[in-house]
Amino acid sequence: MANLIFNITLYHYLILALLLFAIGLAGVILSKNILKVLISAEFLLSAVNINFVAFAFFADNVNLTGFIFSIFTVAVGAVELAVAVAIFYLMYKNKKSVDINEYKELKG
Amino acid sequence: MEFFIQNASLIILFPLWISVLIFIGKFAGVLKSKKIVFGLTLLSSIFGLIFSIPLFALIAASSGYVYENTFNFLCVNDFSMELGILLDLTSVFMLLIVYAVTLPVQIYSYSYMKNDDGFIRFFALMNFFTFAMCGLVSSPTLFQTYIFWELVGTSSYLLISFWYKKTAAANAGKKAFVMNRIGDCCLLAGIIISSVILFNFAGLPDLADIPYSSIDRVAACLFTYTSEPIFIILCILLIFGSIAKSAQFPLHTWLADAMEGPTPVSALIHSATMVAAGVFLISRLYPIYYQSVFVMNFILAIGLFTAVITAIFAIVCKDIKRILAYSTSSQLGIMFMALGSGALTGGMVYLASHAFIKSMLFLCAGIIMTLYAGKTSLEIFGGLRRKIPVLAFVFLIGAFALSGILFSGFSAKTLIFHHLLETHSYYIIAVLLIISFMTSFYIFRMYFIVFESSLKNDTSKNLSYAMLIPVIVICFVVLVLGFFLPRMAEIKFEIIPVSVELCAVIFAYICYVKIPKLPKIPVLYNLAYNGFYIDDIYTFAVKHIYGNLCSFANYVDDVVFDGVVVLTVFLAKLNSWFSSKFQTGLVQSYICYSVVIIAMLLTGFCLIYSLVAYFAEV
Repeated sequence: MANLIFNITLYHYLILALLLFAIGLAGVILSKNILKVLISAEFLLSAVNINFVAFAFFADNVNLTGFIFSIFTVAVGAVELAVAVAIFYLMYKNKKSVDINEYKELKG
Repeated sequence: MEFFIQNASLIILFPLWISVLIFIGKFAGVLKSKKIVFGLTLLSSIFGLIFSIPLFALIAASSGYVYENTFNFLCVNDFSMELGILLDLTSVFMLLIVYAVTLPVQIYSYSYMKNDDGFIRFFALMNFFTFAMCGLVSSPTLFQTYIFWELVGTSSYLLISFWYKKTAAANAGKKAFVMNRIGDCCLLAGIIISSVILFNFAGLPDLADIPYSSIDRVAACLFTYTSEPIFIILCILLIFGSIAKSAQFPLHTWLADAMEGPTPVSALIHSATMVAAGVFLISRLYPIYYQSVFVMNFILAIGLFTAVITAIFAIVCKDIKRILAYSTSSQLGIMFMALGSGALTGGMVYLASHAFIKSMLFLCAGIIMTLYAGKTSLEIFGGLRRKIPVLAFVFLIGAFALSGILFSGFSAKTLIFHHLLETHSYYIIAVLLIISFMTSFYIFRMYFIVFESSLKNDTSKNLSYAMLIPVIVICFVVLVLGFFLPRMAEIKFEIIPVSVELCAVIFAYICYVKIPKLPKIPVLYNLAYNGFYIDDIYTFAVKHIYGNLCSFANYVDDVVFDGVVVLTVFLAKLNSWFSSKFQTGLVQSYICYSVVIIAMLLTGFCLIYSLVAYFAEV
């Protein structure tokens, strides 16, 4: 049991990433506040990053491809966040509300 | 003389040109003078008559001479359809009859239609009819006959409903057209079937358009390559075309109603020429029908039955034009009977003599009508002999000829009787004697009521001699035609029909002059007066049986076919309503769907992959 807890393997990282992804997904789907949705989306990115790094560390630590890819992902995530915040700001200016249920214009 | 034969197609096409000229002139507003229109018409008729007399003389003199000139009209692979002109004895004979009747009738119609608004239209249509009729009688193939058959029917329809503002005339035209259509459909079916048999089964593409010049070969092939029942059905289909055109039994009802048209039309089309086209077609296809005894008997039976019932109708009819119409049906029935019993010459000669007699009687009826402002009821006429002795005399000659006592009618009937005696068909002779009795009875009933009984409703109108002259001309033809017809040497039998007919004349004299208030036979009179209720049966069949069938079909259409459409629409609407519920507009729900679907896809792929791996291992 102790071995299972302290001897950290790939699976620990994968389970951590899975939990993080699940939390992020739940946050994206269930939050009412658009900022909360944005924050939860960052959770998803982190979970993916953890996967990249974990696989890179355990499977292939010669080429550093996974590490470098995760750095790119973080950079892309930062840019995405900036754009998303700008869009949300404009949306907020339109509706005077941060409740995601207000944004229903796509309803069929 | 060769000139006449080489240019014979002119006499067919000339009336068409005149007709088109009059129509164009009318629509362009150039042709307003009635005299010019009449002059053009006269030109075409006189030209035709002058041309057809030497044609007939030439071809009758040279026995068996046939002139045929055709061009290829339609060509599909091996099948080719020829149009053109065929001049043999039958066709020049018919051409001569057509023109000899057309010319006096057109001169007559000038006075008859002088004050009518549709004068120009009338003459254009008359010329068109002449063209169609000449094309019909001189066609070299059955296909061309069919084309002109329809043209003749069309011009008949247009002329019956000439006064189209009168409901009765419009309806009569429609009735004639529909009745003829039944026959035409049968004829077309018969033509197509025989063409297919000749083309596919007999393998004779050159005979597939059924040329009359080799009709014997056609008949032999048709008989050889079909079984007996098929051959009989084929012949009956072809005969039905003739039945409708010649107003024979099942389809005879249109002819009496066709009298709503102008009287010259009745004289030309519905007594002399067009209705004779049915008899003409039978004589053309005679070698085909001759192959089967059953078919010949069918023609015979149809003719006899029609002759008897329409003679009965004519006896009780109260309208002078309808009497003559029923009489036409009856006489055409006699021709059918003659052809069916094998008397081809007798039938055709009877056709010729009847054409002149009946058109003359119709023209007389037209003169009587103009004196009484267009009324046709027999009850208002009387004692006209004292007023117009000439007309009475002419009518009397027509009546004697029609009943077969004297003149051309006598000669023609003698031919038929002679043939029947030779073939020992005594039952048919008996029926024909009854028909002759009825024929002379109804025609002399008409004569006695109109001309001999006491003078009623004296009219101040004067007789137009321009109308009387053409009648006298035809009367002259009737008088002399008997000497030109082929005659039988030495038969004593002639005494019997003539005495029977004379008895009928005396009987009619007693019934309508001596004892005018004779009681009517109760049941039979009503039956006959209403035409054995055949019209009512047709009306019933159309209204109730066919009408109910239609409403049932309508119901099926509404419920089943429209139901399917409505159901489809409903399902599509339900589907779209259901799927539109997924479009919430919330981005979160769309994410939800994509997550669920991706999860399902991944699960599916994994499952398939592991199953494949498992089975590959096994």
